[in-house]
Amino acid sequence: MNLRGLLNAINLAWRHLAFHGVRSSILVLALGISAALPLVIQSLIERGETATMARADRTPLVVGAPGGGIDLVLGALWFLPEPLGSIPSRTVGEITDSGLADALPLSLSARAGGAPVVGTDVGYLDFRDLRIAEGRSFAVPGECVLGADLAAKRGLGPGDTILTDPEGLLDIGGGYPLRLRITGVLAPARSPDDGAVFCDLRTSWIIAGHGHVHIDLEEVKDEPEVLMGTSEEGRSIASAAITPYTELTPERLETLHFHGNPEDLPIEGLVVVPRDAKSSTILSARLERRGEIQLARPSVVIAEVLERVFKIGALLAGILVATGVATLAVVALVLALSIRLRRDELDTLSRIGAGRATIATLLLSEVVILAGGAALFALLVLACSFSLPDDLVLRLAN
Amino acid sequence: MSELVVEFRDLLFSYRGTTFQLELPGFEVAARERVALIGRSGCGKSTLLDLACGIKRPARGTVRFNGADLSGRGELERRRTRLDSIGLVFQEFRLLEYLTVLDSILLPVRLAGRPVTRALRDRARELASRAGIEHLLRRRPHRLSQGERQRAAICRALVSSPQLVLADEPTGNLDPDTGEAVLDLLFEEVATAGAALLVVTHDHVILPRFDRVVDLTTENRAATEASA
Repeated sequence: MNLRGLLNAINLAWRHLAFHGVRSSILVLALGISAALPLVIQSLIERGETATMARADRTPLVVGAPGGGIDLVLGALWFLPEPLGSIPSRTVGEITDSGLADALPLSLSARAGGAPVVGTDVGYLDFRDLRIAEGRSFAVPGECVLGADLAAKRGLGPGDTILTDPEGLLDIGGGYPLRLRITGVLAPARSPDDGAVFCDLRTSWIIAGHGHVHIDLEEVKDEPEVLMGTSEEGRSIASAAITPYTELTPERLETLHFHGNPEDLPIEGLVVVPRDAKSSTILSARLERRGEIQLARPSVVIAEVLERVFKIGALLAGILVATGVATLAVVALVLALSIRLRRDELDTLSRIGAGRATIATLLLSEVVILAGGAALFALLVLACSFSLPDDLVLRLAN
Repeated sequence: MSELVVEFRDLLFSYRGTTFQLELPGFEVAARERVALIGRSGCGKSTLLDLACGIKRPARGTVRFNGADLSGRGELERRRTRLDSIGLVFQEFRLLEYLTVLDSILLPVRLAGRPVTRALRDRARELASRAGIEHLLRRRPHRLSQGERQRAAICRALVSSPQLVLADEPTGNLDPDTGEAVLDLLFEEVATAGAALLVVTHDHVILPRFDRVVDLTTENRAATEASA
């Protein structure tokens, strides 16, 4: 067969496929997806692993209550909502006073509209390289800064407020929600910090009910449901009306007090940043001897978790490869049946004068065109997955 | 008699595993001659057409095309002869569903591995115009009537300017009026092309239009002997 004959056969193949456009498209999509899926899954898992490990690697040590190391690390690094045990806040001072490391407290029990409220100090923002994009950092109880994603999603900025979640909707005796004043918004960090509310540790304790302010009834004298009237001695009489939320104003802050020694108040975790490797070793040895706290190395814990995830990913990829092979078999069957259905057409071509080579080229061209289309589609899917923004992959991973 | 286009000599053909035999001591079609092939079903009319164009090879004897031994040639050469010099018209039209009328007419050119030149396109259009289907060139077979399909098939058979046109019951699937019109077209175009025409038919009404009528029931010696 000459080149012209080859081109003519390809032309006929193309016309046949184009005439059966829907069927051809379905074959191309089925083949393309079967080929692309294992690669896309593999790529996303690898990117997710890299992103996850990066945050774990940047966090030398975390300390928390005894229990599962994975829960502690996931809670301290990704602010997952699962409740953690608590340790006394004096642990921060103990570690800092050792001169071996800096300790950044994390109070993680509160939420605001589902977003984690992280009680810490401004040192945490520096440690995570979190830059204030708008406004300023929190300075006093009742103030907070928002992660970039959270601020964008809720349309909030400096000067706005955000309400923390009540401990329980039906628990009218529980802590009231606290209305936090937003003083700043962080620049995007492409990390779980983007979805969190950061505030002073004392703010977290107030939310948890470990401290409170007193409201001067003079402030609410215009609110009849709260102020019932005045006694004969001239004192205001307050009602039992439930205040829907509390807000820490500068006046109220003067009455702020905590029930108990602040050093005994709870925190859920600590990020420990040793001065150097030697300090890390000494500190680890000291802390590991203490039974009432747990020390975890995020890089080690996450590596173990990822090893399991990788095994699941490999299993998933294996299943997808098997599915791909099955799809290939089905497509081959479809093509074989199609050739059988086209027996009259092929007989016509043969009677008119088409040689076996021409007919074989025609059929082979169709397979090649379908395979080529499927390969292009698979590449497109892969390119789309590669072009997924890192922060989206991180969100998937986180 | 003018020059012979196709001639069979001492022909014997049989299908494996059957009792069918086609035995012809001699049979020929001359250039520009119009021959009708009649006979009982199963007497070998369609088989003779297949032998004439080299689709089948005889067990004995020779089939000569334009004086050259066709049956002795290899498959590739027989296919080439078919593509270049023989036009085929089928009872059931056999148009490819995915090709437009224009592409259907040009199919033998593509199968021959020849470039579809402007001259060939013009020829296809001219044939379609003479067949009265020039306005249907972009349509596919499912949007054509039976008569239009057969007209397109006749144009396809003639596009390579063949010396021999073989038609196997070309009006068999058409109503009488349409069949008459299609036969008019076939005769006209074969005459214009200067080709010989060999038509298998069961329709005795059209036989007077042929130069010669051959009854294969009597010509097939094997069938005659069997019936005797």
